[in-house]
Amino acid sequence: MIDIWLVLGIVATLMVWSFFFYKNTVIFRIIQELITAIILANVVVVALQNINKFALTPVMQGNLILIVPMILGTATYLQLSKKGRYYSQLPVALVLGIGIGIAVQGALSTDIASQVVATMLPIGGNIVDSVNNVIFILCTLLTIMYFMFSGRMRTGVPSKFSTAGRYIVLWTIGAIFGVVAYSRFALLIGRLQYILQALGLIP
Amino acid sequence: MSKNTGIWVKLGKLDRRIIYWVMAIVTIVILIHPVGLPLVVTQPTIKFYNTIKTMPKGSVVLMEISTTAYAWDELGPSAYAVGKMLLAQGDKLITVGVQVPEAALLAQLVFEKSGWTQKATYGVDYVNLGYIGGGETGVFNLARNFQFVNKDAYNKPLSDLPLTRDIKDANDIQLIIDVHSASSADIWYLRHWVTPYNSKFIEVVASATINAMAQYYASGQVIGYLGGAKGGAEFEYTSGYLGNNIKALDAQSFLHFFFLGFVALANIGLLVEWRRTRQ
Repeated sequence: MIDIWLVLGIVATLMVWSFFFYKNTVIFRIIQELITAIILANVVVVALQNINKFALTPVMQGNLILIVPMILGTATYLQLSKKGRYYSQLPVALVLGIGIGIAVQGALSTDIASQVVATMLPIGGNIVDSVNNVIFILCTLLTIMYFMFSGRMRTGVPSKFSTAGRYIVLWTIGAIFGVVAYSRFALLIGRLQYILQALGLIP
Repeated sequence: MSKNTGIWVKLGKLDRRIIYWVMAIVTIVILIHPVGLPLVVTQPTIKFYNTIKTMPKGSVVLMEISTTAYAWDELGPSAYAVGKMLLAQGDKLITVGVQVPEAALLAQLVFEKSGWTQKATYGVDYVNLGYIGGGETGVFNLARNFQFVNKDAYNKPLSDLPLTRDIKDANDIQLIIDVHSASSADIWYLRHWVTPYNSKFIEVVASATINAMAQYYASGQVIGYLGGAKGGAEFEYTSGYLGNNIKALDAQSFLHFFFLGFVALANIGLLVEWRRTRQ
């Protein structure tokens, strides 16, 4: 018995790959539009489910205070009217304000204090760890210097440190590009496994 | 000399489709005939494995799925292997997504592929909360008042499900596993679960995201992680729950080798052309 979903999966994969292995054809454009449509449909359905889950159901159960955020949410559509555009900024400002407030609350200890503490590494003892830690601390300091001294202090000794920091940033960006490419290979392998397993060529 | 130069320049400007074909063919051959290259298990994977292994039986685990379907081929097999280990240990699993709307569908795949739907009972052993909007605000609320998500992904009230009805806040969850590709959800959990509640936090990350989260691993906020398909293969090897990652390891190593070869060729071509134009 042929699994129709498996066949559809293989056909869709090959349609997407037609762009990379051949060229941009109508086959690729069809699957491109189809994927966009499916994703959009899923987003709309999930958004409606969320409105039901977090707003309508609790209101029906008597949690009437939730009518306020519902009105505010609806007010964002006032953006479409010239007269009401000003009022549409209120819910946006509220969401941004709450979002920033919540983010800042946790960010100080999570993103700053913990990272600073983690940079205070010991030097001495195991030679390999010590060398690693020295490299780590040097890279951190030079990168900070690049961002601090790249604007005004472009001459003299600070500029040398700043240049070194720039190279460290460039190496890091290179490494990030490398792992992004590796990540894409994993996707290619995953799809090929899917096809080969469906065809019974691999277990 | 000029003939040689011409070859290098041509190789440097090789049609990308030839590169794709070569890579696809190499991958297919290696997938069908693996060569059995050695595998070294790294520290992040060992710590990831030990974190799960040392949990008391029946612990409640929250799996955050913040990856879109496009990265699932890389992360899915790892998530399945983790799911199998949790099931075998007798742990409870709750899935949620705070960033991508397809989280509920991907969670369903985890439950099906790792055997939860066959061997465990929905509502008692596992629950799919689906997608929760609000991003960081959602994560913040989830930590303080778990019951604000009043229904699961299938519209069943949480108060009716034995697993979720007694969960009040982050203190009732023993471990968080974040499966993510290019999202900020891990940082949100660190801010609102790990820092205030000392929650244990481990990650299954796409290779492309390792650099972004490495700082949190170095600082100890993330206990361990599985980095891409290679990390997944290491986990499958360590835990014994074999899956697609370990089967793909040889192919991945060969692809990396070819990729480096093509990068070297392109750079040689570029340098030769650069020298020629200067002359």
